[in-house]
Amino acid sequence: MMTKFIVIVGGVAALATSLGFAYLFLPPSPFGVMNPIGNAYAQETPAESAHEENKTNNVQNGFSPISPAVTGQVPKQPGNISNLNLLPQSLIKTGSPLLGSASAPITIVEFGDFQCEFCDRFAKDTEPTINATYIQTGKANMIFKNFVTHGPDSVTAAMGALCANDQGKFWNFYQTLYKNQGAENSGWANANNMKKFATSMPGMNTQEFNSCLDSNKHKPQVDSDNVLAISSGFKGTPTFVIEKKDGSSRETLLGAYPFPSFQAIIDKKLGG
Amino acid sequence: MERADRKNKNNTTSLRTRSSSLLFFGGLLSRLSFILIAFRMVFFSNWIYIALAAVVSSTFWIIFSLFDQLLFFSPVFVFYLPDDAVIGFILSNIISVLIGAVVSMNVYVFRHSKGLKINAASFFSGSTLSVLSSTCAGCSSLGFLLVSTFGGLGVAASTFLSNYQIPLRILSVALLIWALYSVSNKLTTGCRMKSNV
Repeated sequence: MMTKFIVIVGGVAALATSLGFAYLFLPPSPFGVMNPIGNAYAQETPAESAHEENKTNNVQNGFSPISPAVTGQVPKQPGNISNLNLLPQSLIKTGSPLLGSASAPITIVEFGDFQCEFCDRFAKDTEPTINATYIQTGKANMIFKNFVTHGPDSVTAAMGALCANDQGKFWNFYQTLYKNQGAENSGWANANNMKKFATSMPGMNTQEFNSCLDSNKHKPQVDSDNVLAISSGFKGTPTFVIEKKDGSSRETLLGAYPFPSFQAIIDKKLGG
Repeated sequence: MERADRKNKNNTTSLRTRSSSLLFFGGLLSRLSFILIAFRMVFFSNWIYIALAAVVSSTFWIIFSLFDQLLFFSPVFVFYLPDDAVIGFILSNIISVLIGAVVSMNVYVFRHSKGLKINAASFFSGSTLSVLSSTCAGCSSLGFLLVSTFGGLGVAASTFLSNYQIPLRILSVALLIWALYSVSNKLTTGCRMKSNV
């Protein structure tokens, strides 16, 4: 009886493992393969554009002492770039949280989930070194996009972070969330805890934050971030896109790569 | 009188506890000796079994390290061990060594003892459980596949794998020890003479 049970469990586990392996080694869908929602995301109404333009000027980078000079205009897209939504200036323009100077020659776009333990590892181990080496020195900047893959609490956390971004506190909130990360979907990232985290943050207008969170103001943004990640062929978190300011020379990393990996790519791009 | 009775009772209980713990440790030691004898039989018989165990252990070590996101081959070769991964890394090392030993010993059994059955159940469930638990299901492609294919059920599965990563690995270690004991037992039992011979 016990042996049969173990054989069944083992069989299911083996099947799941082989499925995972197969999926892991499948080639990612090429950039630019958009689903209908993705195309919708790419199009903005003039009113939305104007709103996003205003928001761009309010972008602050939380714990970075560098004041972001958001002066860059959306560059003419080079011919080899297929997914225009991943262009750094386009992401900044649509109000994505930015760390560092908008005019930095290299951009790292992180697609993350606040419940993902590898995103947590990146935030605690690698991001501070990247920040000190490249972001503080103006050689690179970092943009965060939500890629919620861990269930409903991830959506709440993503919305909370975007509500904090409205007040220029995204990166403080980012750090607070990873500092307090608990077991997946255990309730640590529910709305009440988001509000508690916001209350503990100096300078945060909690009333504004709470109403933003309660009204699901940023749910469409979280959904469109997810669509962008899926349409770009990303398969997990954290995924990093490292590209030049004009969106050229794009490289993608899936996983919590350590600093030397980022260093190799960024130095190569800065040198070339 | 009552005090004396109570004292006697206490003494009896402590004696029983002592004897049961002695029995337990005795049993454990005898099982450990089975494993050690089997180890000696297999690994001192031919260097090929040591090589096989080393190759299998190394392969699984690489798989676990890749899934745990500790080992990276590109853009530069890096191995790094962050604080949050230490316990998992220790367990995956134990699992890799156990898998190597179990595979090698099973090959020995297969080649030398015709008619003996290999305990595939505990080996496969132990190794697959350990591979599964070494992925942060939700973060990896596996989790994404689960969530995108099975929806809410996939979320639950990925949450389970992610939250119970360490207990699942401990369970894997237990299953592999069972597989190791079972194969050792078969090897050493095979050497004993039957009473009717």
